[in-house]
Amino acid sequence: MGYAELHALSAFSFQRGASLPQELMAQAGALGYGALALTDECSVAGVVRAYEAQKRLREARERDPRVKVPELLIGSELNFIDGLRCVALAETKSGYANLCRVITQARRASEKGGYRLARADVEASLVDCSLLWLPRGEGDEEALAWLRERYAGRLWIAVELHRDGSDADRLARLRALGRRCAVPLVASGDVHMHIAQRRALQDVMTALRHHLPVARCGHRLFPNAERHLRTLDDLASLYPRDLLDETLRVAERCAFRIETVKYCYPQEIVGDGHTPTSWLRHLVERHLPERWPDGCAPQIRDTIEKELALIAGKQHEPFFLTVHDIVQWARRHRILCQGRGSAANSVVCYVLGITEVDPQRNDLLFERFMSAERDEEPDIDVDFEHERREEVIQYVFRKYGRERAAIAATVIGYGARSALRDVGRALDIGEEVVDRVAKSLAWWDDAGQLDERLRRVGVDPAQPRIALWLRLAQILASDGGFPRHLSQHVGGFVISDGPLHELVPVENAAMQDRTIIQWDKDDLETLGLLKVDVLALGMLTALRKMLALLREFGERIDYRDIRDRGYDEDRLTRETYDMICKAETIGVFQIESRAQMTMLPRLRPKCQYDLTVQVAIVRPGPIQGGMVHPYLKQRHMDPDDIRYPLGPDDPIKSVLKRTSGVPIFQEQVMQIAMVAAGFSASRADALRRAMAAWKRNGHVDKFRDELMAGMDAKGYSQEYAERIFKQIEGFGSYGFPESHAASFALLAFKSAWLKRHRPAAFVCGLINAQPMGFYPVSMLVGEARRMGVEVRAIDVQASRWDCHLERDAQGCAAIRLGLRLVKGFNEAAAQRIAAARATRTFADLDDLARRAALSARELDLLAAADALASLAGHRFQARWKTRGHAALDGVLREAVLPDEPALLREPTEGEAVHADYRTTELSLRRHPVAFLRDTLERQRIVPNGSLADFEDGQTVRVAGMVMFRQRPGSASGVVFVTLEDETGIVNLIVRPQLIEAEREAIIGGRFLIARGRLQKQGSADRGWVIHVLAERFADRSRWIDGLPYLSRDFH
Amino acid sequence: MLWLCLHLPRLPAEALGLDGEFDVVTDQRGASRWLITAAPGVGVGTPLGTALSLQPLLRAHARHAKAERAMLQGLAHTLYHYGSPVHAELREFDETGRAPQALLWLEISASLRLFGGYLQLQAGIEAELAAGRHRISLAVAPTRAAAALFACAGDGIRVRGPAALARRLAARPIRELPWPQAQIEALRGVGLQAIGELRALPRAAFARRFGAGRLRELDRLHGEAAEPAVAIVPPERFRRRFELPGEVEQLESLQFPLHRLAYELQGWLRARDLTLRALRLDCLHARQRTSFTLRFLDAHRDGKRIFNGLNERLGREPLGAAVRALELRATELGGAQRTQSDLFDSGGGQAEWTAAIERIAARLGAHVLWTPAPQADHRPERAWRNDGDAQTVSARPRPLWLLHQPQPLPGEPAVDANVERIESGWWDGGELRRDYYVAEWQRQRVWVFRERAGGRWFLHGLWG
Repeated sequence: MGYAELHALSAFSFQRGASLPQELMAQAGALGYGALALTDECSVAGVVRAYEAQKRLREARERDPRVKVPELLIGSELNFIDGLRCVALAETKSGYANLCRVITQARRASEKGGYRLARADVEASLVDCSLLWLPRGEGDEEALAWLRERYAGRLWIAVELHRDGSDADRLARLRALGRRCAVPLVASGDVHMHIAQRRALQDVMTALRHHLPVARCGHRLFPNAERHLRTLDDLASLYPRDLLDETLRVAERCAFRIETVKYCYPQEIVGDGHTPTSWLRHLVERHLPERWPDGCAPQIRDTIEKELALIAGKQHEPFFLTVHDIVQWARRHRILCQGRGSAANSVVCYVLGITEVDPQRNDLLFERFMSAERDEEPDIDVDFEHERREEVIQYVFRKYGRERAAIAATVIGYGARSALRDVGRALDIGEEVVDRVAKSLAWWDDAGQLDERLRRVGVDPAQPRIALWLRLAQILASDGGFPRHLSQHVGGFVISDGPLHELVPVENAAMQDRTIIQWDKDDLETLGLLKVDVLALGMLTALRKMLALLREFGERIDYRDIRDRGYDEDRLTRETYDMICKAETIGVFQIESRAQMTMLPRLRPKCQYDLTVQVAIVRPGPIQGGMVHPYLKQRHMDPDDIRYPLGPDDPIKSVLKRTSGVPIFQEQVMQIAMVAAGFSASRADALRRAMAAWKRNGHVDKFRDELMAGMDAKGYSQEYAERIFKQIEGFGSYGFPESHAASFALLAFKSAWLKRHRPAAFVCGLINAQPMGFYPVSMLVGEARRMGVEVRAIDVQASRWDCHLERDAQGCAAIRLGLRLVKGFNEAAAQRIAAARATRTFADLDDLARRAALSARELDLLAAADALASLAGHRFQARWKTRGHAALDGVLREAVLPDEPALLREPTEGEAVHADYRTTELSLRRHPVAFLRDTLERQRIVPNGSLADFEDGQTVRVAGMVMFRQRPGSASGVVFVTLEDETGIVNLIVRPQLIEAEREAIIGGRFLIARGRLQKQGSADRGWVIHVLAERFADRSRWIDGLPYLSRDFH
Repeated sequence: MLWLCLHLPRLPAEALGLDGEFDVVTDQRGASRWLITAAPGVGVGTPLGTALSLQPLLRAHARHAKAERAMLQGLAHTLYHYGSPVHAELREFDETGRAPQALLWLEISASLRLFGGYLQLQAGIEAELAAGRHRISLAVAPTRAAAALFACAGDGIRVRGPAALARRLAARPIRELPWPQAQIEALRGVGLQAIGELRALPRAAFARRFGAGRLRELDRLHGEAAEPAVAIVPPERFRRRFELPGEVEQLESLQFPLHRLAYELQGWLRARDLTLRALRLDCLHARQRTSFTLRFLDAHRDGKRIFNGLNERLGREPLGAAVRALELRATELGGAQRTQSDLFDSGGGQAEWTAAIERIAARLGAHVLWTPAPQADHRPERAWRNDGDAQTVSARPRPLWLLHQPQPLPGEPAVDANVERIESGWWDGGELRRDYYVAEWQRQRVWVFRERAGGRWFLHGLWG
């Protein structure tokens, strides 16, 4: 006997289903079902996950033929506004397209997250689908008749028996109805969970849907757990044989398989009279001289031919042409952009201007780009200036239309906190306790340490209600989190030749003018659908702004001219690298973080490829995989001296030669699997996908045995194999592919060059592109001044909205801070000020207020930020005047009222600094900590700037304002806290035990004193890498009362 | 004029009868909720969320402004004989993060002589209020506004003359002014820190920026403008209600509120110059009340005696149910005003009669009379209750006679085909997992179930 479940909801029927699609599929396999239809409510968002689970079952069957693999049927439960309910299952590809169209229509007719379906919508639209009518009770025969009129022959009455005490009556009624209407009956389960043990979670879902605690849900809850995947025996005891057999007949009709969804590239990007192949070749030839005016080297030409052949073989031309078209458009509109991704490694992409990575200068792995035998889809991400990306997005929507372009979804899943909150609501735990527990979880806490955390806040985890709460929250947050809703991906576009909604349903996003498809990027990858990533990159915005500032200042620098011209050949290049090696990289793209800075003096990059490695190696993947130290050790060795496990002929050598015997890039890990463990190309690709989706399903593990066995067979030691596997794990979520690293390294060099040679424009552009990067504006300004750039205060007589360059006394560039730094001020007012000032400077406060049409609030913001000093005197005087002015709004605007002058004292320097920070988060006066120096000295606290004078291992006391808190995933619970004083910063390493002991200070402190042991590496001429391993903290936040919270806390 | 001002920083907690170190009272505007009484490690004004993360043991209670006002009024009566006129004010601020100021003023220039100096007067007041366990902060100044400002500052300042007043005020920080935070910030934003500096500003320019009202307030502070207010006169009858923070079942937990009420009554008696012959205490439960009358052998006005009397009376007769509120009234008074006690006599008789009926009802027990109310719950045992409102329920058929306890059956009964599986109630410890059937048992149609775990059969109901 057999059974096909034709009606099953997963967690993608939000607040209904209590199992993930993969759980349903795995369980259906375990029970020996012939097929499983995933029929989420008006959605197919979960099908790819079910398909992946099915693929895993298939793989398991290869090893063990007894494993059953159910067919995966695609369908959807449709609930109409008039109460009609049915399940539609796709019989064929066209049936699937029709279903997608109906879902799209229903979804687009409603706001985000909802849908609206009327009978008129399916009058004749569900062609090539099998329909299961879901009876609701007496008197709904009319609905059946309506469906039968339209879909006779492919319509069934679903008989769903759930032991509610009336199964026999229901069966008898439906039998009679079926005879009367001549509609066949079929068994189905209305499945909401894969196993009965999910009952509690399912009840929680119901409670959340009704916004009620479970205890008050009453009959809204299902009376029992029968809506799980039941055993065949159980089903046989409930249903007559013929109804079960009928399920298999329906399943047989529904021959559509999700993996057959095929995608057609848009065709209009091809020039007249050309095929895609000839057009791509035409474009390459046309653009070739731009890269190599004197003709390219023969091996480049060879590579181009090889690539074009490969692309033609896989018919991927339209993809390259699409990306090229978008990039061209952006270029025409002077939007900086740059591509990366596996396909971006190609010379073709370089020639077409999609990437900037010169293949001659970067020894790129071209085979990695695409290989004929590997069924891998090309991947190109294009970064655009973050402030102008929206223009590009709207161009894509305009060009292809909403029918054919949409953004990929991002599945927002449950995390520990949201799970605690939602389950807490359902169990009526009490907002206060939920709050208390959720708040006590710092941003770095794992749910794993929850019990301990709870006890500390006075909640007893052993209490039954609390234990239930935690257990259910844990299920919700496990496995990467149950899905909660769909949101939009940051910029992954799917563009198709035909209407997109025949491929996958499209729904509305929260943002107006955005539509998203129901699959996320992993789903797209699994199905081999192409997406073009239109991403936003702040550094591109900053770079454009820097160049624009220079142009205005009278210097034209071409973006493409800023490049590595050789350390030994070019002074400017050399000076740039020298600065990088000294870790003076605040603000420099990708290599500005604390972790990068500690590594720079050790890695000492001297060329573009060094930078590429630098970018890739200081990532959680390589750090976790323990690659950093071997690389440091072997970097300067002769490649022939580097030892490989199998000696000089070790095949691994061919893979790792370029990176001194250490895997740095994601693709190297795959290659190792191929050469050292005998993985086939497709198997290695599966490994790569598993790595990428590691968080999602944790299936890297199953590759472990295979890898170990493979390496053992080739003669590698167990220990070495273990190490390789650990590296694979580390790369899973965080490794960089080489092309990403190379692209980023280009930008890193450009920004470093500008920083070294045009520091004023560099910092100015960075500030204008905020928010971005790692450092707050105050530290960027500090860095500019350290480099000798004059920074001028915000002044209503000189400042614009953005910061800009002025000439200092020597004619060099100085930075004039802009009004954008004034908290709460608005750009329109700043534009009015600039426009009014262009005719003539302001005579006084009234003149300013009138001509720039400033409100009382705007005036006060300016006065408070000390931007009126040139018009109204010191800050107190200015604020007094603006307040008096404010009283003259309205009809009396033009009237001049005599005002008695008030004698107000001038602010003290300390007051001025605090006021500066409060209004602009920075001060050009003394550093706030400078005022505390006497106190600090009395406590024998060392200025951060003099830490280099101490010996490694010495105990020191340091202090400063907390600027950063970081807890890198790679550092096993360690938190880094950065303190700033008037002489510089110090990085504290805080171990987990200390975090527990000094939690309040570490999480909430704004000014900390720390005692600890100095860790110092490096040398005086190459620069020092200094950390303090913290042992004790004292929270002295009250010393800087009145300063805003400055710390940036990173996860 | 010489004003003694009392500031009661913990009045919101005292009005709720809260005494625990970690009990805090909160106020609320929209979504934000903040502390208006302090606890160890967390100050007034802290948002509740923050406070909880700093001090997880906190128990937060919502503020009860009516109770605060009533208690302040009661205290005004208590202190009535220490000075006259008496004023009271619960100053509210329309801003998040601020706590109300509970203030009492007594004009003491006359009573100073009567009590033989300020220290004696202060000692008297403190002794009086210590009995009620109130936290107070005192200050003396020639203007009410200044006395309040000093009292809230909590430095125990005493000023008599205008010159000293001006000198003292000049040094006070402007944040102590009971003004909106935005105005205080604006003043500090122009570098002004002390009240004295405000006085140095040109008056017209100040009024233009901060309003003429604020200028007048400064004048009042310095005694340069009149301070109109309505004085408090004790009411003719004493009747006080005390809302308990939760349901109280233990007599020990009632001690504190009883003590409060007793001493408030004492204060009122003194203010009105009366003595007490009899009183009535009502304990309010969820649906009923229990009344006690207490008669004294001789008329008196001793708070301690009142408290002891109440205590003994309650101790003799245990409370039937949890108490939500207490109500105390003076039913018979002694002293000069005979006519009033007649009035109360008739009222008292009525009350005793009602109390008798209520006592009888209480003895029979409320549980004997009830109407079944259907409840939406899959579990048969919980599908109806004898209290609470009926819910509209469209449930499965259920036998009208449901056994109180399911009875185990010796064997497997002959069951009907339709099984009703009930698996529910995991959330409250009342989890059931049963398969119910209609069966024939000893020639009766019965409702039986089999435990899903264990498979034992039980009889649960009889069909009509």
